[in-house]
Amino acid sequence: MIPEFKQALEEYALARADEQFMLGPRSAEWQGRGPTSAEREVLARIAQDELGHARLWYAWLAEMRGQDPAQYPERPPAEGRCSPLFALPTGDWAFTLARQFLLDAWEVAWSDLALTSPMPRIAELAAKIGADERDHLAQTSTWLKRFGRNAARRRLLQAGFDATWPHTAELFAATELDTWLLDAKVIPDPAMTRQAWLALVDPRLRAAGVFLSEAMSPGGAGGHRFRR
Amino acid sequence: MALSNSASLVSEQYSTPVNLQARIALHERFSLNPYDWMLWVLDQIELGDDACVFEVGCGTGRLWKTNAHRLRPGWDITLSDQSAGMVAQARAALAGVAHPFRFEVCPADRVPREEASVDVVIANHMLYHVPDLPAALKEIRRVLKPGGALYAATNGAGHMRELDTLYSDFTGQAMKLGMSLSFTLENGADLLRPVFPNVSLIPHVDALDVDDADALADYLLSITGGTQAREPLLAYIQARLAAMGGRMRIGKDSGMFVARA
Repeated sequence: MIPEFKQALEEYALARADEQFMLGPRSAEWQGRGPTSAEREVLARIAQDELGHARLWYAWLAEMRGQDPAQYPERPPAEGRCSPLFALPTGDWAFTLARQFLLDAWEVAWSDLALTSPMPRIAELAAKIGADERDHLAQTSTWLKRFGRNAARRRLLQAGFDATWPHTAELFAATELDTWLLDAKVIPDPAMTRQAWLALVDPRLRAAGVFLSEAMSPGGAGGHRFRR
Repeated sequence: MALSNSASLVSEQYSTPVNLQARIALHERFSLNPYDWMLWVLDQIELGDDACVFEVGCGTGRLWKTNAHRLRPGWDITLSDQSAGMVAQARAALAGVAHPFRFEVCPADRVPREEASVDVVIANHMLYHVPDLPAALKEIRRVLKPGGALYAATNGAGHMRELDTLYSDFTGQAMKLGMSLSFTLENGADLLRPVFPNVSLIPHVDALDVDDADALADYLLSITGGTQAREPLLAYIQARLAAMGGRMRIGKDSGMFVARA
C-alpha cells in the first residue's frame, strides 16, 4: 500500500472514531435529566451505539497500525480529530435534538454511500453503523416532529438549528489526505454525501416547522480539536 | 443471590479474586465504550500535583494499575480493603509500577488516618458492600481535609437489568442479580447528604454488546455462587442469543458521586 494512502486511511478512521467518541458522552449527559424517561432511555441507547461505533473505528485503526486500540481515546486533546459539531458543549434539549438529528442524518447518508466502497472493511463498517443510524434517525425525526407541534417549543427548536446548522459545513470538508481515498472511491464523495444528507434533512425540518433561512447556509469556523 | 452488604460477602465473594475476575472479564471484552472505566474514574477526580489519596475497597488495585502511566510523583496513594487477599492481590499487581503505594487491610469505617489528613477518598463500586454505611461515611468525612472530597462510584437500578431478565426467565422466578445494592445512583445522594453537604453526580455511559454465551454463563455463575449447573444455563443462553441474532445488549447504568466535605 502506498504510504500516503495508508496514512489517509488511518487518519480517516481516527477522525470517524474521535467524532463518535466525542458525541457519545455528550448525548449521555441527558442521563437522569432528559424530558421523559423514554427519551432518556433512547438517548442513552444512542450514546452507547456511538461509543460502540468509535470502538469499531479505533479497532480497525489499531489493526492497521499494529497498536493497542485502548491508547487512542487517551490522546491529548490537541491530537483529536473532530468536526466542531460533534464537540460543541451540550446545550438545551432543542440543541441536543438538532445536533443529534443532523448528525444521524449525516451518518445515514454517509453509510448508504459507503456500503459500495471497494474496501470491504469500510463497507462492513457502513453496514453496521448504517443499521444503527437509521434507527437513530427514525427516533430523532419522531422527536423533531413532536417537538415542532408546539409554537413555543418550535422557537426553541429553531434556535437549536440556528446554533448547529452553521457547523454542518465541516461535515462535508475533505482533508488533503482524503483525496487519496476519494480518488480511489473508497470513501463517499463529500458533495454526494451532502446531497443525500439534504434529501434526508430538508423534508423533516419542513415537517417540524423549522425554517432554513439564508443565514443558515452552511459555513462556520474550522478547527479540529476536541475536549474530553 | 443479590450482591448486597451481607456480613459474609467479603469472605464468600472476594477472599479470592476468581469471581471478581469473571465479572471484570465480561466488561473488558464486551464494553462498547472504548475508554476504560478506570481511566474515566481518575478523569473525574480533581487532584493537584501533591495530594493524599485513600482508596477504600481497592479490590485488585486495577484503578492504579490502569492509570499507572498517569500517576504524579506527589500523590501519596493508599489502597485499602477489608480483605487481606485483595490487598495482597493489589500489592502484587502494582509491584511493577514505579510509585510508592501504601497498603492497608481495614474496613471502610475504620480508616487508619488522622483527622483532616486526606484530600481525596475513592470508593469505586464498594459502598454497597459496607455493613454500616452511615458510620463509614462519617469516618471518611473525619479523615478528609476541609474542601476534600469523597468520590463514590456505583450503579443504578437499570444496571445490566437484561441479565436479571435472562436469569429470571431461565430459573422461572423473578431474580434480581444486582438490584439489591444498598448504595445506588438513585439513593446515593440521599445517603451522602446527611454527612456531606455538597453532593453531585456524574453519569457514565456504556453497555455490553455480548456475543459469547460462555462468557455470560461464567458471569452469571460468578454472581450466583456457581450453585446452578452450568450446562443447562449455557444451553439456555445459547438459545436466547441465537433468537436475538447472536448478540445481546446489556445496558450499564453507572456513575460517580462527588461528595465534598
